Amino acid sequence: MGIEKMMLVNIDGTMSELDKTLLRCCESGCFHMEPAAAKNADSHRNGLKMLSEKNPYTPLVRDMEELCKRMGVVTDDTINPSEPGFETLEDFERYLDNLKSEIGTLVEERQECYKEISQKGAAVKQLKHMMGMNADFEQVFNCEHAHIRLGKLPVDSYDKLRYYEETFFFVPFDKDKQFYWGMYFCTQKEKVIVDEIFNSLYFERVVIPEFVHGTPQDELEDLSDRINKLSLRVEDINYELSRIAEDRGDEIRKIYSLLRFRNNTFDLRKNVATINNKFYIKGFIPKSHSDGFKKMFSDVRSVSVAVIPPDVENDLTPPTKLKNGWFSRPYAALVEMYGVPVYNGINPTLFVAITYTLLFGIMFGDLGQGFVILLAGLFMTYKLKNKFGGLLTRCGFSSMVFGFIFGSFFGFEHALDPVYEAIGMGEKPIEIFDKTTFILISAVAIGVGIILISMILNIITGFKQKNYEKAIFGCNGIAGLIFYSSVIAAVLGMLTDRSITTAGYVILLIVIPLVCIFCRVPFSIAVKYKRWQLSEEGEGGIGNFIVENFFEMFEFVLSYVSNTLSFLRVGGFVLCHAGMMLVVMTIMEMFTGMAQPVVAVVGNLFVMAMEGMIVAIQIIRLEFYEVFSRFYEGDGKPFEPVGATLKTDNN
Amino acid sequence: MERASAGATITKIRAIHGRMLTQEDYRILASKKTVTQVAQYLMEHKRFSDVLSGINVNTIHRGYLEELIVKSNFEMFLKLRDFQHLRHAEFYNSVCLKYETQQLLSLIDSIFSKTRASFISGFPAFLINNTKLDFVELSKCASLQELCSKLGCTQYKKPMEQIASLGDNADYLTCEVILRTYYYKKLMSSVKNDLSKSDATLISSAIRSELDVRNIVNAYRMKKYFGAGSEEIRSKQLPFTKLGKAKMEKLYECTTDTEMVEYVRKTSKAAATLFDRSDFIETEMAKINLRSARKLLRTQSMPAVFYAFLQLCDVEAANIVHIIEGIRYELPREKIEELIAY
Repeated sequence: MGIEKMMLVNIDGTMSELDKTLLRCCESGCFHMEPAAAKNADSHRNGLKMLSEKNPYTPLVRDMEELCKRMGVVTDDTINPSEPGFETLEDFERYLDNLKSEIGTLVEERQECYKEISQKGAAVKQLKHMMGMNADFEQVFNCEHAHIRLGKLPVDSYDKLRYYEETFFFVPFDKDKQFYWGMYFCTQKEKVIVDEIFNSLYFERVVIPEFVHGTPQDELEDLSDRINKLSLRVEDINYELSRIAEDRGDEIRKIYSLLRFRNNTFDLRKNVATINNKFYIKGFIPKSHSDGFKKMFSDVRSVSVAVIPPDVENDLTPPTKLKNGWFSRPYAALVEMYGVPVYNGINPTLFVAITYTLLFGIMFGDLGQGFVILLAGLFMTYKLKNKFGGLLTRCGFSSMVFGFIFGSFFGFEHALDPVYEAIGMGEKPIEIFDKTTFILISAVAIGVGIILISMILNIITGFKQKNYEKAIFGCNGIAGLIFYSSVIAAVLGMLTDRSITTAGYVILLIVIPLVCIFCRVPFSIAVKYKRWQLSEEGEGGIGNFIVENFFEMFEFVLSYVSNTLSFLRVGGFVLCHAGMMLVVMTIMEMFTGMAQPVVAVVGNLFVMAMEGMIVAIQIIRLEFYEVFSRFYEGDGKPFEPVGATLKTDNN
Repeated sequence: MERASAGATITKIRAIHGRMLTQEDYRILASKKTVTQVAQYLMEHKRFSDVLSGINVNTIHRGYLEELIVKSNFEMFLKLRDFQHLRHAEFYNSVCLKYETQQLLSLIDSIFSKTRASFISGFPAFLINNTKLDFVELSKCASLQELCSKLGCTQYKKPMEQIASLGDNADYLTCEVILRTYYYKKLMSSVKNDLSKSDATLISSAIRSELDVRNIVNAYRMKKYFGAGSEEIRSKQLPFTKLGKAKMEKLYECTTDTEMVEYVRKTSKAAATLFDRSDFIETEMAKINLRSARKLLRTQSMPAVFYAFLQLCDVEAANIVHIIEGIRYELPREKIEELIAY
């Protein structure tokens, strides 16, 4: 339940073995690759050069994808690392050429059909606007003395035509929201001026294609016939192609997957460094896989693999691989949503798993609804293979447990009474509306507990990272922990009429921690560097320091209060859930007969969907804002083994 | 009820304001290489998607694109005016008055330059149904006297008589001063008559500030480029000021343009930034207007918000025109960005 220990791996060998080595790295499924040489002067001095070759597989992948698209072959992300008969680039090129020649004629013919349909379709669109013209296009364009232009004129410009005194006519055939479609004509003598006028009015010419000769009506019929014929031919070709795709689909998919694998493996070369016909590869592997990984290369003679501790090279940060048990595993997605922890940090997944499950159960406590959520979770896990299924299962179970405590079963608050009597409890343990104060105080108490644990986690992380400001003097460090718990204890004392706030208590447990928090920066510098300095940079005077820290202190104290009270929402949702179900029950009682179960089912479904979602989001908010903000930074580098995540960049 | 309805109009205006082009949008637009790309971007932007929905971005003329944007602003103001049944309030009709004045000036310009066709092509057709002036008839005028006689029975009788009385001494700048003075006098009187005292104070103060800046720029230009004396400068100014007559008089009496700049920096807080980039005075002027409009937009006075929004939309339209012009003349992105007021 922590972070997997990593080892740094250095691989070197002769260039002839590079492809084989990269393939093995991919096949291992546990190799996180890093650039083998940093882009700094040192690397250049050593003579190391990063490989920057053009990937010869990329154009082939694109061609293959285009072919698959044209044939209707659906490809997926599966990886096929080997296929007999496909060893070199030439093998793939040959296969693609054969495939192209087999379907090329059909695809080309279909393209021609599409092109003609598109041209004819555009002409049909234009002709539809010209239906008011009862004359042959040929006759119109062959007029000897008249100058004619067909096109569209903006509606506003049409209104301005009456401003002109020149002799021309604009005959509209059709009108839409923005344009008048029609033609203007004038004498050949005035054509230059009239063309200029229409240009200034934003008249857009419509060029009638050469194949259109007769009247718009006749031409429209002819064109529609032709488009229908072409569409039928396209359908035939598609049928032919789908038949081929059906016969050879599996084979094409396999070759495509292999090609993509090779393409992506070749892409890994950009992280490889070379010198004197030798290559260098660097990366991380989980410590538990180091022996197996080394063995994978034992048969490649020129390649040597060195496994060393991860902190040997300062410029490389080890990636983080979370180690989670069966209970916390589904919650890893939530943690990763915030960001993975740094390599030497704390894996908060178990803490999140426990608090999330607990809070969900309390806020959404209903035995029946919890059972439905549990079933939905099982269905998602085993049928849909969805990673959130596990989370639902656990939350559903927790909801059932608290539903039993609250005595709620699909909103029926007394349906479980016989069960309590049978087990000798007499009545349900908590009657929600009778114990609202208890519920709200308990919610705040849970919040205090969670905040205290978060502070302890922060202290542990701080010491691990040798960050004394964080661990000792910070608002979430030892000083903050003492201050917060002392204030809580004092408040508890006041509520229970046991005054514990003596002068010593206040000075030792409240004032001194506050001073520590106020002076956290100079104190931590003093501990770490044995010198007195107000800030890390050594800038700013005492006045600046006091003003800055005064406001920060104000914010810290305010955040203690607001973060604690924020947990009131946990209790609020307990009441809210009971209230919503009460409404459902009241509406149900307003109906009779068969309508009652319908209202109960619809009401339950509505509450489950709406409240379930709100509760889930609210808990995420509590986790991220109230808990994570205290100890978790989430700026680690996720462990991404090559091969396991291979995807084409061209998709 | 009226207050609630004014609140609804303010909310409506602020909602549209939220959709206006942002600095980031201007930056993206300035980096476009063709008018087609600009049209495409505007067509996909929530602010103009409705207006430009039917256009073909590949064939659209830049002039038509600009016209559509200006038209959409004009129609939006008419809609806002009618939303609160204010068709009969003179203040809310000042948009039409403004466009009429602009077109009359454009007509006078075309009479001076004898380019009637350019007036017609530039005439916004959307004004035809929103004006009592018959611009078809007016456009046929060949002289100022003819124009004056045709406008004899309209509200423009008085300023046009003033122009006609100039005879051969009439020039475009004088005509502009006379017509714009008339427009602002009408606007000020509508502000005084139609609006409550507090609204009127707010808006007239904003208008006076705006005119101060305009007068300062005019005076500076006349001094810098024509070496004009104080009398000549005074005659070409619009007679409204917030800064105060005495201060403006002192400005006109400055002997050099540098002296003017120094004087403005010392006396006017609002116009202090005007000469920060002397090559981009128009942009700086628009920026000052923007600042004042944004202040008004934050108030709870509906007429003030309406007036401010008018200014903001004008600047936005002008920015788009600058970008399109810049792209047309293949200016680098940085140069275009310098022309944008935000």
